Amino acid sequence: MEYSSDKNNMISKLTVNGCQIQLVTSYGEVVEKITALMEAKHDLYDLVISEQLQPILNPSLDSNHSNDMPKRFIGVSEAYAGILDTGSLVLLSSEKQRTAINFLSEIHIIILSSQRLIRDKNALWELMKSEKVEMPRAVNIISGPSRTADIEQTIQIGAHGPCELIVTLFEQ
Amino acid sequence: MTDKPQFSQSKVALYVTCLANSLRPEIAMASVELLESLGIDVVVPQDQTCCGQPSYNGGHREDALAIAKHQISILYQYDSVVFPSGSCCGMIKNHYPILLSQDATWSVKAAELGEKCFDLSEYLFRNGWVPANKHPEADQSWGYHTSCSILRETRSQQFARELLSSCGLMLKELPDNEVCCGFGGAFSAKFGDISHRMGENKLSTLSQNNIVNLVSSDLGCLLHLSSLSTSLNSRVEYKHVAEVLNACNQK
Amino acid sequence: MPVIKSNQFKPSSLQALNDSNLQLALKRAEKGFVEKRAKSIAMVEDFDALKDRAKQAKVHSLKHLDQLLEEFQDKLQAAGGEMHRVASPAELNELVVTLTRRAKAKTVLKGKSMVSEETGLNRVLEDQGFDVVETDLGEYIIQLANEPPSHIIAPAVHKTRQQIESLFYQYHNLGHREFKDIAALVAEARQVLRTRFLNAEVGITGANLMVAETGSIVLVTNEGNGDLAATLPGLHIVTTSIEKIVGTLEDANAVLEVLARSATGQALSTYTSFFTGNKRANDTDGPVGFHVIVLDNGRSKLLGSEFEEMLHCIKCGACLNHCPIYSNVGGHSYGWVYPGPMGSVLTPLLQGLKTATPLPNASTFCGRCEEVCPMGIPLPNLLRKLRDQQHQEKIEPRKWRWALFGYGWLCKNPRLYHGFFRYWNSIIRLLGLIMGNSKHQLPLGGGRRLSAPSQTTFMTQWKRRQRRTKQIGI
Repeated sequence: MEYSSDKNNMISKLTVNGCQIQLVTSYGEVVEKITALMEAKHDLYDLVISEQLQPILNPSLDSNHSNDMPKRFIGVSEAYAGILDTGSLVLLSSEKQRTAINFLSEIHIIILSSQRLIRDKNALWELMKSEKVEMPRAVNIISGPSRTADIEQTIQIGAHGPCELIVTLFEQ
Repeated sequence: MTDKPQFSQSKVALYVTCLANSLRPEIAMASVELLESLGIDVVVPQDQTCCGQPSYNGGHREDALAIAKHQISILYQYDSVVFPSGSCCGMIKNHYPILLSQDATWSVKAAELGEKCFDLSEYLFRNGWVPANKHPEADQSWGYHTSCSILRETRSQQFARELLSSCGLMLKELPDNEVCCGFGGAFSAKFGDISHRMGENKLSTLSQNNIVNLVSSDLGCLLHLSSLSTSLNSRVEYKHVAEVLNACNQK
Repeated sequence: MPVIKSNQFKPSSLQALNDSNLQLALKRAEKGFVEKRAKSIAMVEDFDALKDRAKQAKVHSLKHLDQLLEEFQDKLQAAGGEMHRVASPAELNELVVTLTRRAKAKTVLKGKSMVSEETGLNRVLEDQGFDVVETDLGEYIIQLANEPPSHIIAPAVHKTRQQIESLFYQYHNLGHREFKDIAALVAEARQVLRTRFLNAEVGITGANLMVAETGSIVLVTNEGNGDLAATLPGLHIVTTSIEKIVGTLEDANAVLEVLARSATGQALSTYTSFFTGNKRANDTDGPVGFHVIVLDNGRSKLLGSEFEEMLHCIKCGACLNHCPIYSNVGGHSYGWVYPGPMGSVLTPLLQGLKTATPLPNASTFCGRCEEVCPMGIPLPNLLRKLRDQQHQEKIEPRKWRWALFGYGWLCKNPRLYHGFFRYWNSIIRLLGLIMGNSKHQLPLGGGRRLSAPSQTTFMTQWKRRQRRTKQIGI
């Protein structure tokens, strides 16, 4: 009961923050969604998948492996956790997760396990402590696509970072 | 408000304020008449002067201290002190205790006096004042100018609004209710151009909302706004809440 | 150091009042900010509780400031970074130049940093031959316009869309094109700046907070420019100031709870990042050098003083957005980097009372700034204390000094006071009859008119009334 209300709560917060939401139950479905997106965008974008997800997604998807980022790309990362009270995604830098993807992608897909929803920002520190995760170089708490209101107070999406943020909510 | 305190047998003083005393005495007189209509024998302490805001806000702290002590010694003996001004009421109620905080004896006295200070509308409301008749111009368009001191110092705008509507006045909600009119005492003299513009902004809201009569609990704001309206050909009538309520008091 | 023009407040503000573009931009901004904040705070169950918690965090950190900065330094060092405490703007600039030169940099990316505005860092770097690129869209716009920011969170808030279009036509060599909407302007800035991001050797950002227990800096943006500047170049330099320190990650969260809500009306800014040291051994990206430069510039002398509360300021900009003076005259009138109520307190405190004489007086004490300040800083009262100091140091204008002395003297002497007002009342009544118009309105200058009183003072009337009552024998 509580779990499903958490999930719905997260979905509504993410929507308010301007994210698109996909619900999946298997990695096969993730691959399908990405393929469909690439097609819908007329294959104009390269694909960059974070190292962490490569073993799972790569066999079926053709992604860019080099250290140099391509010019226009769809990036795929995995969230460490999702924060319920603000509808935010937590991404930790590591040897398997490249921070630049979070900010250079045109379209950013973040895979979030529905088992990893936490109450608020303080619960994040508790979770990291309990899982013995050392403070990484970067903890990026992301609440929607990049935006600016610097011109005449009008909110515009896609300032420097991703123009679209797609959250793939993964139900195991 | 179920627990209306009964003040009618107690000693009630009117704090006249320097502006009302010298520029619009009819406001203080209307306040007296309103209080008398509640059966109160109003006292006007003769030695009261100005609350000292010009000195307090102008950096002259020693003068402000002396002036504060003077008012406290004059007003302390009364059970209630009523102000036809949110600004002066806020000064004595909230700022005297801050001003005198370094002085153990006086700060206690200041705080005790503060408890007994009331903006006119709040006092009338709490003592059950009701209009004898509807306001003769009730069919016109009315607005209430919430002065910053009524909004943030005495926090008593609801009382004036309640009383005015009990007089049959439909107050139009003004979108810039929380924005200062630009008076600010010495500010209007030191920064005339900015003060002027702030007042003009208010006047344009009034005209956009077709306000004919603007009521306020602070004479300073009213004088400032009315001084501008002549140059802007505005037809708004500026009225103090005491005058408006008193016009509904005549049997 | 940028030139301080705060003593020019009056002429500058007059110019601002007559600048129609500026007035248009300010009206739009005021409405936007006020509405967004109000909406976001209405969604919180108990905002006062959040404010209290945030304030607690700051009170604690100022009480243990040195200890926390040392802890921060140790933790940061353990994470491969370095902290430098500097006293003056010149020291900060010099250190940045040294680090940048050591990195053999040509291009320096800037994320928004008010501390770097305070030290005039851009000018210094440019003079040393570095190519400095502001990346926050607002900062980028004013860099093109060669102007200082006019708002602490929305630097280009004073510019209209048309003015920004002209700047882009002038500085982006992209041939003939039309901007059909604001989105087109944002898209062009994104495209132009993206290439700069990829080729810079140094990134300089500010920090919203420093966290002692982990040695982290917290960076809050909506555009993601700060994160790019902190991620892509090989060297990340953070320019910040001592009061940004908090003890724990929970304390940092407490401040974040009120920051974005007060600033932009968001529960949390789009990007809230905690950066701790440099690239780890096996990390795929991140800078190899990470330096945090912590500026004092007169702040530590406020500790324990009656102005200490000013160091609680989290630079959200709410007091600017709600200030009736700021929203009429804009940020540039204030003459230094921090405008509005917080700037009117901070500028004289950091730069000296004499360099900013008008600022503490440029307030009606309407109290709205204190009401919206998420840290509950008593801004009007701090301004009042600065006025006290101006009086004590005899730097108030002479005519005000004497006028207030005279008035104070009257107020302390009831008989003189009432005598004076009786005469004054008679004089202006008479003037109203002689010089006034048909309604006895006296000219005040600037087209303003004051209606002369129609009766003698209240006190005189009251005495007459009392006598009458006695005679009748009631």
